[in-house]
Amino acid sequence: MNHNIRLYLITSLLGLTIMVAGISLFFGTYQINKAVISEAKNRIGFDLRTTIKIYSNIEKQINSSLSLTALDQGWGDCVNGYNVQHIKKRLSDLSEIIGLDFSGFVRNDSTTICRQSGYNTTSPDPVINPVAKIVLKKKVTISGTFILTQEEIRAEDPKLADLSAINLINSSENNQQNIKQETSCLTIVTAVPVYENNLFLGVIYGGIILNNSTSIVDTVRETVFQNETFNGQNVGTVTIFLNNLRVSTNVLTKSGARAVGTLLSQEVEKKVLIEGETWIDRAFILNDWNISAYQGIEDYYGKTVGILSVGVIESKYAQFKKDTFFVFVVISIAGILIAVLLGFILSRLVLKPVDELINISKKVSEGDLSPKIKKISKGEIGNLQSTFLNMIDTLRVRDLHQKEESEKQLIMTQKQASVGRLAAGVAHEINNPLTGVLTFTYMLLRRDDLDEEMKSDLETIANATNRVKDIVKGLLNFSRQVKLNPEPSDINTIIKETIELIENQALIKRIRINFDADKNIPSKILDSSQFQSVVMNMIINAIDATDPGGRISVSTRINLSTKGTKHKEIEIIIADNGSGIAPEQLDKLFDPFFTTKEVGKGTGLGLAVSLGIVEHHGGTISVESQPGEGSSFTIHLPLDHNNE
Amino acid sequence: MNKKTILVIDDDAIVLKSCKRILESEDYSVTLCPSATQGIDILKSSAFSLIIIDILMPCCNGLNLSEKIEKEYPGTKFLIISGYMEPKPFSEIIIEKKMNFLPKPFTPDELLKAVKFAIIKNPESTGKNNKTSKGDIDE
Repeated sequence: MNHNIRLYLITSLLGLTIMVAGISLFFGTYQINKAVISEAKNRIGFDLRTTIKIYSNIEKQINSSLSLTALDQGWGDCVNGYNVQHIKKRLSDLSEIIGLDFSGFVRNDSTTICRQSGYNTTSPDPVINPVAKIVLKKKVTISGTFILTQEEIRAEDPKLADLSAINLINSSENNQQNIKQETSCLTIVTAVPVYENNLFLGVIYGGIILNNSTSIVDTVRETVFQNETFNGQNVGTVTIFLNNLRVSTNVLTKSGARAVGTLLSQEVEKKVLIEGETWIDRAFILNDWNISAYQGIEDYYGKTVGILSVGVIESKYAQFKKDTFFVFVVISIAGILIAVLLGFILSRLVLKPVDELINISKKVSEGDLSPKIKKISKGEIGNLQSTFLNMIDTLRVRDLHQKEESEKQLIMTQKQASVGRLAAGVAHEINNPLTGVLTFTYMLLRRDDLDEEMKSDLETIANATNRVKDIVKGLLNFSRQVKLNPEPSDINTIIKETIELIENQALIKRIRINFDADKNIPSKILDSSQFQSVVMNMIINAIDATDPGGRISVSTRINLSTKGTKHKEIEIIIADNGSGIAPEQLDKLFDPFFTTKEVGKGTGLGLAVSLGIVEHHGGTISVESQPGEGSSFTIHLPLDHNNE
Repeated sequence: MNKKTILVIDDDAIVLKSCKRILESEDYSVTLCPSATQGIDILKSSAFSLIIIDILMPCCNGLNLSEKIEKEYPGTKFLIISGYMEPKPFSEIIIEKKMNFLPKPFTPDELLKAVKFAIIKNPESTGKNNKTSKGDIDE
């Protein structure tokens, strides 16, 4: 039982801990996931804005550099003197500073007189850069993102045209198109009108090609993600799309090449290119899950022609989530271990006094009443302990009392037994000579020649010898194992009949006998004639002890056993208001030959024999007496087992 | 009619003497014997109408002796006498075997009555041949 409580306690604590740990693990992980994702999205949004800023800064840088160059002195001389070398020098200086892919000068007569590449400018070329053409007309600075055709690039530099052509990679069948090569080119171009002395001389233009370019995306990655890696892989990626086509990126294909030529997913394309929204979410990019952000790039005319995108591989966060989950699991396991430990300690603390109580109970049940509880606890256990101690004390007192009682009983029994043996021995020895005395007395009495006096003397001898015979018989009855003739009997009826037998004798002495029978007394198996002789003997004793006019009350009842067991017993109480018994005589009352009656009136064996009979029925007799007030004899008889 | 013969076995001389005095007054032929062994010797040469045996004797107990004699001489009649019925088994054996029993001390009348009754009463014969005892044949 004890182990059950311990198990119960530990299981409860364990259950509670597992529940709490489970819930916190679930919600914690969920919350952290949410927080991580939302943090990742926030960060990627911020990264996207930075990227856009860098992109527009590049455009501004080209714009301002060209504008500054346009303000330089000496353009008139160059143009009018057709000093192409000088213009080329200025252009290449400029290009070197800001890294232009192409640049050139268009004269106010709509001819290109100089290109950075030097291509086709040995004489003024009528082919004009489309942006410069607008400026030629509008005579204001124009700067922004433009899509140039391959022809237009080729006009700047045939080599550039080849470099910027992009071979499409069919990464998705849905996006399969007939075009095998994208020839349009995403560029950032600035064209600035050049004046000298308010005279419009021409247009200086310059730009960078984003197709197949690595500089912007790598710069951005370096700036924004600081080339952070995770498991040997770059955490952040930057991509520039021309429409839905990756034209510049540091996203890598499985083979490790830059994923230029691959297409954007339709979902993102629809959101960003068509609906013009910024898109931030998880996205599967080529090989990995990413947290990605996309925003459209507007060209000079306000049309969305491409997308700027940054992404962070999700596995970095997954690892973080895994780590967090692991920490949670570790905490949970620690909690469970602590719960078990705590349960064990608690149960020990709680159960120690209980264990002690159990051990003491065991000892007590084995009859050892000596154990003491070492330490009284507080609270309910303490109450239990004190109650238990009180119980032991009570038991101890009762035990002592019982011991005294049983010792008294034992002495009594031994006394009776030894007296019994003695009596038996004496009786046997006396019987033989008595036979002789009786034989010869009676044989003498048979003679015809006896005179009256002699006959009378012989009769006296015979009578006296018969009295001796009676006494010896009584002694033998007392010491003998009485042979019982048991049968189911109604105790109340036996008592009633006994009272009827001796009522007259009592009435002569003007003594009234009351009988108060308990109707609930069940029938008991006993030797009715012997039991009757006991009741009779005790009522006669009561009559003898009571003065004329006195009263004897006989009653029966069922009561708890005086033997300290839980059993019930039948009690027959014979009480009188007679002379009572002196305290010093109470002990000797059941001794054989003890009598308070006159010599010849009692053998002193009546109560001893009665007690013998009652004891043979498993019962006992107790006495209470107040000298001068009366005595009360109680016959205690156990109930038969089937009546218990 | 022949005299009824009675053997009395008791270790106490006063009892033997008493029995002899009483029984002879009624014309019984009485043989006295103070011990069991002597009793068995006597039985080898003579037969009796009744054997009176005391239970408690120094050498052995009368019940065993009666059993022994009964075995040897089936149909023998007994009267058991005793001043004391303990230890317990004795009283039970006596009741169980419906033996004739007379407690000591007894008056002459009581003994005579018991002896007459014991002689008249059919012996508890278990044997199929309900023949009279060896004593009867000898008579």
